[in-house]
Amino acid sequence: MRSRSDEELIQALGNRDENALRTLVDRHTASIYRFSVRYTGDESLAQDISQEVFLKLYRYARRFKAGMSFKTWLFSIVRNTSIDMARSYSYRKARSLDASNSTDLLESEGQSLVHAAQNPEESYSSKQTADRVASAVRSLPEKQRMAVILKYYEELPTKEIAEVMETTVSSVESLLVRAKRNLIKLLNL
Amino acid sequence: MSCRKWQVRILRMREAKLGQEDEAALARHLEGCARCRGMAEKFSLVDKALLQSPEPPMPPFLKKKIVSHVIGVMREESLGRRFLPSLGFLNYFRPMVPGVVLVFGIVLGIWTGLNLSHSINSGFTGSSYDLLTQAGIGARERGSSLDFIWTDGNGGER
Repeated sequence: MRSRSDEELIQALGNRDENALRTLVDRHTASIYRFSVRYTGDESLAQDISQEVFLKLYRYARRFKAGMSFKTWLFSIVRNTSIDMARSYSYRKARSLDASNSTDLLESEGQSLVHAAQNPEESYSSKQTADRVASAVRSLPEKQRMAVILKYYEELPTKEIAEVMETTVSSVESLLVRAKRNLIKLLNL
Repeated sequence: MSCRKWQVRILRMREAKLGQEDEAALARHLEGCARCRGMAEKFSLVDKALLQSPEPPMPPFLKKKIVSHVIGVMREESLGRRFLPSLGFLNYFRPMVPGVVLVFGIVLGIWTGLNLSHSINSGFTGSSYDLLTQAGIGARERGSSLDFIWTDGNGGER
């Protein structure tokens, strides 16, 4: 039997097709969860975000128009849900994602990462290298972090990232350049 | 052109998005600009570091949890619609709402005003005639609509 496309599944979900929901969850939970963990740095929050995203997919399924890119639409929902939930009061206490604090965060995070890089034992540990990279990405300002995650981990083309982030292609390019310059500092490259 | 703009071109070049002319111009700039050349090398190190970082592991129960939650909501809503009559027809009456509210307000105002005048009138005259009746119908019977001011309730002079 031919497997249904995402576009067909989302239309079926609008008609309360439970099998369509199961297939969509099977296909997309991993990328939604990964995105949320990388964006928020909080596994528990990422689980809540993933659940909320699928609830929104069900509720907004009828708004999906033929001809739209499903992935772009999905990540627009993921992005908005992640921003809303990460900024909500309960999580704000634990983790400040406010852009105004990002510079300080960047500097303090940078110092600790540079310190870590100077220790040879840690440099050879791939686990710790991965942690350093993840930590560096998390300490980027919000928009730069979003652009980097969508570009490098979700492999969206720049044009689609611009659609998801509701901005222009040149803004995304500029964000990516600034993000890379910050990552060079943070990772002491 | 500033180095920052050349760095955007480095980014585009890495995605093979530059035309031949732009690529040649970038190559010429990189030959002469040590800063941008260094940045191009570091950009590729950043790319490598980002692409090598492992994916965060997903909790094994997450998919089941999501499916059961969303299906629960779907069924709840479906059940609600089955037992509650559809109220969609009310939308047809929506444009009439301001008019209905206005008419209701006017009727309520008149009714309240009449009642108020009746109670004031009863207080002065002790009869069931209200001010309007006194001013209209009562005037024919009793001479003047304002007689109640000078007469007591029994028709005698105050």
